[in-house]
Amino acid sequence: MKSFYDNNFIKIVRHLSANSYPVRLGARHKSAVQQKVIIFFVISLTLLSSASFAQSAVTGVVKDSDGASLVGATISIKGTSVYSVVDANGEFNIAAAQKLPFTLVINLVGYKTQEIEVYELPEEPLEISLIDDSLLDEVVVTSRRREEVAQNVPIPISVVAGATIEESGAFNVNRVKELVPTVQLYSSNPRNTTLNVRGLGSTFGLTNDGIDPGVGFYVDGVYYARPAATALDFIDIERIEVLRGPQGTLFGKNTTAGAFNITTRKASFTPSGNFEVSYGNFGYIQAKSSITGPLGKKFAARVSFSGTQRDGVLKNVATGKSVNDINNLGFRAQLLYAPSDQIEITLSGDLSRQRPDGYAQVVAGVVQTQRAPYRQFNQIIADLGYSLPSQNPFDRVIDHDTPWRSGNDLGGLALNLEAQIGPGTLTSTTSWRYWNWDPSNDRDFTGLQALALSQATSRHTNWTQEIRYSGDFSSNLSGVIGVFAIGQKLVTDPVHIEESGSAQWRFSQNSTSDLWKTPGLLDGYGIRTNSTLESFGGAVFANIDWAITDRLHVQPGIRYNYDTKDVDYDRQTYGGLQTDDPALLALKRVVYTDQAFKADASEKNLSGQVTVTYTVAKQINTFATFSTSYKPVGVNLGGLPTAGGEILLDLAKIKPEYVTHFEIGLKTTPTSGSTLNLTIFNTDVDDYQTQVQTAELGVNRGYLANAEKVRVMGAELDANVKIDSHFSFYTALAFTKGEYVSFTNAPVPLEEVGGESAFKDISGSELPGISKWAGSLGGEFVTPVKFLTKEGKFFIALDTYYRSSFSSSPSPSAFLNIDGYALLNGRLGIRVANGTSLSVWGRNLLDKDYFEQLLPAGGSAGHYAAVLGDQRTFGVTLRHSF
Amino acid sequence: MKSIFALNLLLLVFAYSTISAQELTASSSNHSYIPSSDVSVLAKKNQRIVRITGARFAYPLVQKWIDDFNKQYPDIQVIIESRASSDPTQYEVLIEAYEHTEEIKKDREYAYVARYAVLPVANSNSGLARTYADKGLDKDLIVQLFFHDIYADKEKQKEIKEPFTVYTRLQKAGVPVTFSNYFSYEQKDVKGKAIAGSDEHILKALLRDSTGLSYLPLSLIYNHETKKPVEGITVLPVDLNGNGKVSDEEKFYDELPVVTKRFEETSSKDLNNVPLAYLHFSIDKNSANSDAITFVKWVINNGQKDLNDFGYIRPDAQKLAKDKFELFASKRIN
Repeated sequence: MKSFYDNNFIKIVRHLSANSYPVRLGARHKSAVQQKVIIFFVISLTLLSSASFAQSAVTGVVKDSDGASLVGATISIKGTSVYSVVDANGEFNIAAAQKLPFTLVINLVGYKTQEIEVYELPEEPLEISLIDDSLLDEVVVTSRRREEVAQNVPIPISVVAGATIEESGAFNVNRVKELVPTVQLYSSNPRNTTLNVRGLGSTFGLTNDGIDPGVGFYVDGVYYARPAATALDFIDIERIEVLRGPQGTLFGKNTTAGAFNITTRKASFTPSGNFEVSYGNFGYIQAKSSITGPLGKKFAARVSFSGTQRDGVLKNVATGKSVNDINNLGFRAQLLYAPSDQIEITLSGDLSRQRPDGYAQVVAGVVQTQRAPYRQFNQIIADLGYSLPSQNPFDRVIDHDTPWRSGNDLGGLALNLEAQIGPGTLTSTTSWRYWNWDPSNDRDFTGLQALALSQATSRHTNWTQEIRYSGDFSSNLSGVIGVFAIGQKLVTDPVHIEESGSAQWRFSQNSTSDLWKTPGLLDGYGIRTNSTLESFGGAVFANIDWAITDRLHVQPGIRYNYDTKDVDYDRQTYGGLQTDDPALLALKRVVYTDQAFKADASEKNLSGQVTVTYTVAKQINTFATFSTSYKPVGVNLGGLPTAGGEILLDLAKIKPEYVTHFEIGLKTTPTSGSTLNLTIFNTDVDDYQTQVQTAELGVNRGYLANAEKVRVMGAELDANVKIDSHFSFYTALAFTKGEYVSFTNAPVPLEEVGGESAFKDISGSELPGISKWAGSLGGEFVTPVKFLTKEGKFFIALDTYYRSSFSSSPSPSAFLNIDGYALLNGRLGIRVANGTSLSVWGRNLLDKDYFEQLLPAGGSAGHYAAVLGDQRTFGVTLRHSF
Repeated sequence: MKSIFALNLLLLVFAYSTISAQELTASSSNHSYIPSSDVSVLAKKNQRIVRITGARFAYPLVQKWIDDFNKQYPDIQVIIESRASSDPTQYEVLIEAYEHTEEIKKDREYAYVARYAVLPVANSNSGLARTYADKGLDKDLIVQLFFHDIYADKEKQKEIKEPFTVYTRLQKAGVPVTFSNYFSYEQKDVKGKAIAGSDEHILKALLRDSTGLSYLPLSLIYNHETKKPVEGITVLPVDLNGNGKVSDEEKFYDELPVVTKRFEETSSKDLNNVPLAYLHFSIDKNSANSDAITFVKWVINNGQKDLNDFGYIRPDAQKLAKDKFELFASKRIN
């Protein structure tokens, strides 16, 4: 506390500073003499009271870069305990140190600390500007395999920061899709997950392991081959970059529709740790921890753990249990070896074990097919004396007699080497990964024993090797060149089983013959499938940035692919009534038949792209891209349909997809705190690989086929603005129009099953899974606070998401359409950089009932099921970091 | 009682001497320029006073001019005054190092008496000095080293392994404004530690920090006696011809006369990455007294010979505009 003498002394000394020079010159007048007497006594008293001697004050104002006063900023004198705080007027006044120079340190949470060395006491108040952390934190991405500011990269990119993920209770990819409206993710279980960008990438509905995803999923440069990876709990996520459009000349594995490029926190030589625990409704508990630090001068490590549990959100009246729960464990470890400044080698490993009773779907409706009245779903269940537990899917009640199980194990090892060689970086990424999938589904979605078992257990392993060199080859030439290889093996483990139960005869009955009523005809009648898929893909790719002038860059890229796939498929029937009666055997064959085939397919392809970028002004980057891309050949791994009792072997292989893509974009930074980006694109896909449904129960997961041509066009607007140090907003708006330009031989939709033809021309109709309009809008308010003695920031944020209606049937249906919906998520709390943070989050705050996906049940009896969006969930997360 | 009085007297003397010492430290200049309050005393003794204030790094040059001027005009006392007020009407002549707004300029008459060049300099013991005294700095590297730029293309930036700390002025002043504007930035965009003080204090800070990097005018970089860079700091050569490289021919910063000669003889299109700006005198068009006009006129006509010696570049003849000032002077004095 300053003494009375201090304060008066400061005033007087400041007065002296301005008026005392006449002493040196010897001039005097009366008032000066009087003044001198006063000074004499004051100085004497001051000195005697041992107050600071010859002390003065520094005054000033502290503002942000927009000129707004930063009330609460702390000004301290380095090396002392003297400090002052900016008052409500935005001003400060601090007693100067005794000796010049001294250093003032200006601190405010959320701003870069500023140091000022004071060499002379200023005559006028200092004007100090602090730079907002967020202005320093440009969004840096590695989409082009080197660190760049997102606004300078001529690719439409959406970036979701790790902090946003942690604070919003979003614990896997499926829960961040609302932040990136150009992403569509449909998941009826981890295997049957469609991760699309701009409506393209993978087949809609149930997936088929025989084709490759079109959206590359990369974690720290390692390609994750199976879409089940989207179900992984996030651990240590630094950021997620979503790249829209083909990226084949930048990434090892072909990415015809886009890429998820996920970066995790690295092992560090600076010790730090993170402990986090979350509690929420439905018994949600999540614990995470992550520790990193040195293990010697050249080694560092990071070890992370995550465990998530949540009760089921659907009530199964058949068992009295709740299903669709969460029961996940994840572990990740990294060992970093840095033998020199130029070389870094990281060995990493991860394990995830998920054991939910889950991914049950609810009957959402019944369609009148064109089959005879006795084959309609309502008639069938009436005849069997069964009724659905509820007519309203949002009662979230199911009656499923077959247990749901979704054992999902993923893991792998990766060795990453980065070496600075010459003007660039050589990167080698070697990985081995596995995926073990152990499901049990009730695919008739009822309490009837129609499909008694549906268990497509699989074991997948893959290895990848990517070597690339990126850097500046000359003053105006930079880029990346690389080779990539992947080998995959997918086997049934040991077999896939589909088995009928006692009610199957009624669902399969396609005539009024009483033979269908033969007791035990189809009980326990099933198929065991033994299949192996081996595939290899190799690619050489290069992407060059040629700076013709500072403003004009041309970026050509090229890619050469070789892909081969071998499938060995053997499906054998078993069980049911053992009989030699040809009529009964014919009925059994209506349901399941033996099927065996081998197929191999290989394809070479040369594709490429050219991007032209022009910087109109420092804040305005424009770009135009033309690219061709290719998705490898596919093989049908879910069985083949039959015609007249014959297997349609022609469908064993499907053709590659050929993508022709054009886009123009504008990336602007209107002010230092805002961005505004616009992209317009058109993508044509020839021989579009799609999964089509058939009424045949033996192919109840559908089969792969090629649509002749599809087109997706659209426009995307992304904007971020930081109004001041408190308020920031973002919006992302996407208009996407997808259509089958030509698909003349598509299977009929559910309501037309049983009509004159099983196929129809759906050219000109809309592609499934694409909303014409989708958008996100959100904002955050932050303000500095103290929390548990630490400087922190209070935040409150709202995120809204909207998508318009979309088709949920590969062939357009009058029934399988999902209405548009809007969701509201929110979070508030206190974040502290190194200390304890607290956040409260809520998802689907308005408790909107909505479908994420609608799927026809196997056999096309007319009923269809829904993947329901989660109801309102909320929780609290406590995090401590050091 | 006597002893208490003696003690108080002793303390008083001590207090005054301390305050005076502090003021001297505060002005921190090699010259004892006169505080404003002293001038009023002088004014009472002698009415022919011209008060000058402004860019402090120019004071040695201005003092030389004053000394020479006084030989010819002993009755006019020109005094460099520590600037205590931002009100320009308090002074007869302002000497400043950056252009004012048109609003301010319309009421003042300007004489562009010298040019000054600003160069990047580093503590001689720094890694930067060791590396870049030889490699030199091109424009991109200067921008990367000195300025915050959220729009910068990070992809193009070079890796700088040497630790460095940029020092810059906190308060608005001619040298930082000239340096920043030349590279299309503003003073506030310069990163690093801010100095509350003058350009001389930048030099002091640089000498104290073995990672120090800053920018200074030639008049502060070079020792006035030896004509060599002040011991402890190193000039980082720049890409003078703008070809993206720094050749041996572009490393000529050992001797001040060589530097000023080169800058004067090189055409402006071949003089890249060297911020050059005018040092100007200005007087109030309406209220300037005739002695002030006489002094400025004298500097225009006689001051050019000292420029190189003090680290300045001769102004362009057109900009110096002797005739224009003569015309103004003739109207005002007559």
